[in-house]
Amino acid sequence: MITTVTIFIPLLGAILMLFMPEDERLVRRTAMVVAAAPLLLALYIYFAHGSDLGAAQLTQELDWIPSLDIGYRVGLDGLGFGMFFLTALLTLIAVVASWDIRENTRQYFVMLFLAELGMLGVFAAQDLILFYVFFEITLIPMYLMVGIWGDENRKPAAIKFFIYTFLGSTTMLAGFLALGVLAETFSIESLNAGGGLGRTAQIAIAAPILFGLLVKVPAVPLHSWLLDVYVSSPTSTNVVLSGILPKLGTYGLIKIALPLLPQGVEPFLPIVAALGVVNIVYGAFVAFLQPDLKALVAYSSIGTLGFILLGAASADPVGMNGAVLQQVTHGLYSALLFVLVGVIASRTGTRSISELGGLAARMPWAGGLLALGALAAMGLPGLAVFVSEFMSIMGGYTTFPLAGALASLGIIFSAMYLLYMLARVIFGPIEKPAYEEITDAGPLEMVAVVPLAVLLVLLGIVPGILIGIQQPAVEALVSVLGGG
Amino acid sequence: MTTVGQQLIVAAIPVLPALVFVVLALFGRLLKENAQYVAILGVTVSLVFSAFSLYYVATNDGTPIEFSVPWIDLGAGGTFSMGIYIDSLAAVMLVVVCFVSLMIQLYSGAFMEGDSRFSWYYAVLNLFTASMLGLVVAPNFIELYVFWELVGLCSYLLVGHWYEKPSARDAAMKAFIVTRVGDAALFVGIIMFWRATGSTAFDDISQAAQAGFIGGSALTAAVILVFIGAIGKSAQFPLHVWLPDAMEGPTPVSALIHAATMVAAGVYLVARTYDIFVQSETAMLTVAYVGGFTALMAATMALVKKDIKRVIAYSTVSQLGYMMLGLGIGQYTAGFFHLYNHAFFKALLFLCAGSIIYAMNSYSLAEMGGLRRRMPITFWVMVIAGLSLSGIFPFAGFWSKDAIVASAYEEHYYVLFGMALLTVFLTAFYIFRAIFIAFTGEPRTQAAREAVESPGIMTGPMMLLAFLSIVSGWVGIPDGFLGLPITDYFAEFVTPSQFATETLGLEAHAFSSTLGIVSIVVALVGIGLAYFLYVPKPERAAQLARRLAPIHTFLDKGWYFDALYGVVFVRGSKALARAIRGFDRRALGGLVGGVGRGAMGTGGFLQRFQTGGVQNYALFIMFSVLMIGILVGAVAGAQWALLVIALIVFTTITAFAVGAKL
Repeated sequence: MITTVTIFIPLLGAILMLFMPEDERLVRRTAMVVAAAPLLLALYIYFAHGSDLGAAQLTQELDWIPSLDIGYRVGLDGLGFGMFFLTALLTLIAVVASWDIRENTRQYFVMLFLAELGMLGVFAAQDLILFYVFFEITLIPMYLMVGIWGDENRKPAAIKFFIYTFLGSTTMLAGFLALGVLAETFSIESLNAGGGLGRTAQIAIAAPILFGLLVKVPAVPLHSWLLDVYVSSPTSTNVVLSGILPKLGTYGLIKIALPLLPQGVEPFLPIVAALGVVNIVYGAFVAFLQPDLKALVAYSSIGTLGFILLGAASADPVGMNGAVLQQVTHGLYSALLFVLVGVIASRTGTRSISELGGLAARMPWAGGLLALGALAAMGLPGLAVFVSEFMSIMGGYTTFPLAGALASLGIIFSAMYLLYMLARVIFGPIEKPAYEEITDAGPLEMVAVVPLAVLLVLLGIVPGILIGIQQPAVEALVSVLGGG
Repeated sequence: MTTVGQQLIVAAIPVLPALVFVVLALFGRLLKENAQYVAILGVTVSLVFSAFSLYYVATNDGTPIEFSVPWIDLGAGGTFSMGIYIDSLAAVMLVVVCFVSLMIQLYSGAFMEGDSRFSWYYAVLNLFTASMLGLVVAPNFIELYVFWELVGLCSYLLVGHWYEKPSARDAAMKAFIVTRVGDAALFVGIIMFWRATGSTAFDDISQAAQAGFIGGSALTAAVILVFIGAIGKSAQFPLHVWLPDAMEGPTPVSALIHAATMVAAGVYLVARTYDIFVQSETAMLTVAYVGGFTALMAATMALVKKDIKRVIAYSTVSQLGYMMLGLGIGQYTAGFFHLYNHAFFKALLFLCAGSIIYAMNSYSLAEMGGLRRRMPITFWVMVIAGLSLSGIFPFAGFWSKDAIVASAYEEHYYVLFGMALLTVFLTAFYIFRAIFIAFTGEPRTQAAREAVESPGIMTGPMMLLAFLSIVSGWVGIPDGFLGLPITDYFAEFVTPSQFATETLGLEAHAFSSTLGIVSIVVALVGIGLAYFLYVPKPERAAQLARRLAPIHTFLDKGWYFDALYGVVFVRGSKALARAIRGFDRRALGGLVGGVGRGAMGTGGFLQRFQTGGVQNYALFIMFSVLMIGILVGAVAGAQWALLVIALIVFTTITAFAVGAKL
């Protein structure tokens, strides 16, 4: 019940927003309260049930289409809980960071909450069709958030986003339908380990599902929608867009493709691992000379997401734990960087790296946290991303030694482009006289970024607080793969 | 076994400076210059606790203090732990790190006075101290790697402390990236060991390797990868290029990080994992020759430098090479003994340079001259440090350097012995060249004429270090030296494991007076030549430099390593990045770009679907579908492939239809 309540609170919030008066301050405050509720519930679940998420807990099941065994089945397990929590957190941060949404604020929050509903639902769904429905629910609000509140290139960007991800999700649906119909159930639990399908059938079903998920991630070369969309979106949308949406793809891989079709996915795993490595290296090199700070952060995401693919493809306990954790750690650092890019752009009026420089002297907090985010992104120990990356690489090396070794090179390349970025943006002499006057991040902006920074440090020092939750579920998953 | 109270005390050694970092990072602005007192208190307590650990280990026959807690527990997937392991090696290192750190923090109070980021400077200095101490006590590779990278981060932040200066900013970046090349290799080495042995603990890996879980070329490869990590950190050839540039940082930082501690971490790593290294003869030889070559190469570069800090920086690279050479030829104790002595006299040399810079705000030797009368304390302690570095009896450096040079001869590594002896000559020459230019003759600038001795808070630590530069080596005087009833305490305390000793199969050699005298004479010749060239008639040196202009330029440019790397790596990676980015925009972006362009108007979207861009886009998707179809066909059979292709084509068309409606 608590799971369902948590998922649908945003829906209530969205309806509430529709009936709010046009009082901007009231709207924002109410939105913060609404967004805080799922976060508090997620925290409650963490403390009350966190140690027991090896299999889905807090489940609820209602019949939907009994003839096809499709049901409303939700529940939380260790694979999804981290992202479930992160969704609640990043939505709240997106509400706080919505300072650049100046028109139609109410409608914006309606969209944001609808998207949150879908995202929370995906990470709690225990039924294939329900998973797909929630997956698609995120699409329309995100499309509108980019298309209405984005910058001058928003419309083409939004369309690109829609076409790509819609293509991905329908392909995925085709696979889901084939799987459910052949196995005569859509319950994820019953379908575990192939639902009785043979290897050939599994392979045929796995292919479209994997394709759909890889577009969502996005895996190079299916990533070309990402840049325009990220760059055109408002800061607040970026937080969710980069922090959560790619994980719909990676989570689908970990939660559905791997355990449900172990034999079907198996022949594709080397390809997924290879794509992971391509993401890591390619993302770093494309980011290296990006003139736009936001584009650089976007491409850094492509690189970091590659570690999830590598870790998941390894089907090794260490790598898989790394992949599950990296979903969360990537969300933390990329949200942090996107908000700070927004803060910097609001002060300097530009995101062009060549026009920035020396900001640390005037903005020690914003600059310092930007450095922290960049250091996290390059996998510096002591910060959360290191933990998940080293585990992903270790697991990757275990199964695919060459891929693991090449991924290690990623730690050189990422240091290269991120330090080069820091050198040009926050260090060096102050680039323009106008920057002498700029102010550091304000209280509201600090509220948006400090929790992210604190979590990055906390998870870097005591990763056990999250790994302990996910580990039993990962162990169960790996045992399915081992037997598959 | 250790009690809980003892565990808390040893755990506090790295934790206290870390707490100081947190306090200073959060409240530094309120504390302002008082930050130094918080910091000094923290590191003093750590020093006391380190001394306690040393005492404990020494009075328990070298029984290590060890305990660990699980850090990441993956159940059946294994466990990564964090722990503490203090044996004689680590205990000595802890005391050295805490002591030098304390000296530097005292000295910095005056040196950095008035700096706009004074408290932040102290905060990072303490984060560094904490990380270095964590590195020293690490019992396994993962923990070591964590702190290994963190000391690198602190080095980055401190080298770039004056980041408004582009040169400082770039040097910081270069230091981090070059060492990270080594770190990546180290990381792969760690994974190889973990994969083969199922553990990351040094001890377990050594045991597993002895039992044959990893051996032959795999072992050699993994060990050499770990050694590449050490090469990066300890600035050995060919990754030495970052250290001279790192001199852009504040001078006390150079003394702590780039002389006494962090750069020694590479040497420490080899010593720490010595039981693994000795199992691969190839790896040991690699260590020895890289060390020997680096020692000689860096010494030649130091001969001609005009910047006092760079002379000392190249000297550090060279001396670290000695230590590697010592370890590589099986002289565990001698290699680490040199690290220990070097920490004091090299930190002192940097503090002397800092004292001069503080007095006249210049790094350039050409602007100095005649400082002996203006700065007598700095002069005399620098002479002491210089004699110690040159290896003159009975200064500290003599004992350890002589042990390495003599062993090279006695173990029949004649090429290495030749390199080492030549380096002795060059070392004595370059350091006294710098001292003579700076302190003798007539002042060459107004600043030099008006220089005054540094305040007591700076000269105090310098004098203390000068005292140690003389006597630190006296704990390691060889047994029965000149027939005197002397015991070599250091060699008795810091011994290689029995396993390493047996594997290497080395015999102990008595102290050879002949070799000792040879190396002292060679060093004295070096000092004499420096005197001849720079003191009576300084024109002589200039004439010589003109006559040997090509060689002079070659050395001054650091054998053109920077130029070479600049072309190959810096420009190479930028060109590659440009090419990949072009590909990304044109090949991939262009395919779908049509959807984007011109969509701002009111003409509706259908219109745009008739443009070439969209056709390309559709083509691209069809192509992907085809690829997937072929893939599925290959693994699953043709019927399934057809079904999948049909499904995908159907959904593509749906997608377009919906997209068009929007």
